[in-house]
Amino acid sequence: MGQVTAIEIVNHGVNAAGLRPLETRLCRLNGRHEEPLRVLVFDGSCAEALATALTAPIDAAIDAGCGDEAAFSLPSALLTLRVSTVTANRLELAQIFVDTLQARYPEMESLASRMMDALQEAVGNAVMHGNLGLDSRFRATLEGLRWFAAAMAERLADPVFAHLPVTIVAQLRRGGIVVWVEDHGQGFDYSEAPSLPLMSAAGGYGLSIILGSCDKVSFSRGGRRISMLFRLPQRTIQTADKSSSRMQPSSKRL
Amino acid sequence: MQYTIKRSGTRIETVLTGRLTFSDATAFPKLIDDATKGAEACEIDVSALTFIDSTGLSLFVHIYDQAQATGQKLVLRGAVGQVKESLKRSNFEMLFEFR
Repeated sequence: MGQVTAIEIVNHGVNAAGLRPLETRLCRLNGRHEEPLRVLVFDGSCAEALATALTAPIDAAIDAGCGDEAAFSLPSALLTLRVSTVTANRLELAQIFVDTLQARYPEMESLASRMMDALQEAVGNAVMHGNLGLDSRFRATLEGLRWFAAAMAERLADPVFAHLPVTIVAQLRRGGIVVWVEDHGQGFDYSEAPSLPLMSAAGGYGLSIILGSCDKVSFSRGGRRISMLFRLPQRTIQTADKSSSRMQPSSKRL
Repeated sequence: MQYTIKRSGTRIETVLTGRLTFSDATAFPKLIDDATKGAEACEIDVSALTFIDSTGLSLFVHIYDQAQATGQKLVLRGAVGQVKESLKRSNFEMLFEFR
């Protein structure tokens, strides 16, 4: 099949003035895909209906509240979601994402609980430590927690932080599904990341939950992207191979 | 997450409902104050909590630290499902009396 320029925008509450430049940039950045991409563009400030909107065969959903970062080169994926930090903090993003995947791909039911736990932690890290730039070590004491909570509220209200995107992508890989989460923060030195559960309010436990929930974890882009592999049972992979459309409800070839 | 506080003499019962996650972190300092200040016994009912993440778990570490510092009795009640699993996995049974 030849490559076509094709982005079909499904607008969900974004005004025309905001939508037009975003649509133009998305088309320019995604001019070469084998099949048309259906992209839901929504207003993150009133995104309560996002879960419902994602029941439609949407390839990617983008929060227009990400401003200049809303348009990007979309990866080939089962599902892509990009939302602003303030939206990621307000919505139950991990649950929406996993529920959407599970509804589309019943084969991954056995992974859903682990994926939910891991994705919740990854999104929390992307929001608090990535885009909001808050060091969890402040939470070690109650006084530090007060500072942390006040700074978090302040930065969520600051457009410089609030509009930074959090991107979640699920991709079918040999043997399973990779979910990656990327923020736009300063990154971190993941060689120093703790791997054991810590009984401490200062944090670190989130990463051990991720390590315990995934079959493989890796970091890239200076620690701004975490990739988590969830292996599918062998029987599921064979089923998916024989009936590829069951793993590709959006009609997109992976 | 939402919470309600019931005071009975020097006993405070805090009832948490919904999902306790990083999104609630801005509310933690007030919640800790409400749940512990002026009490001899703090009881936290989590039976209506449906999900907890690591940031949510850290709330209980702070409440435990407060209780330890002031000699308060601490009880965690009614954990079920993912919340119960997360608390057990994190060895919170070592910190709290579970009911």
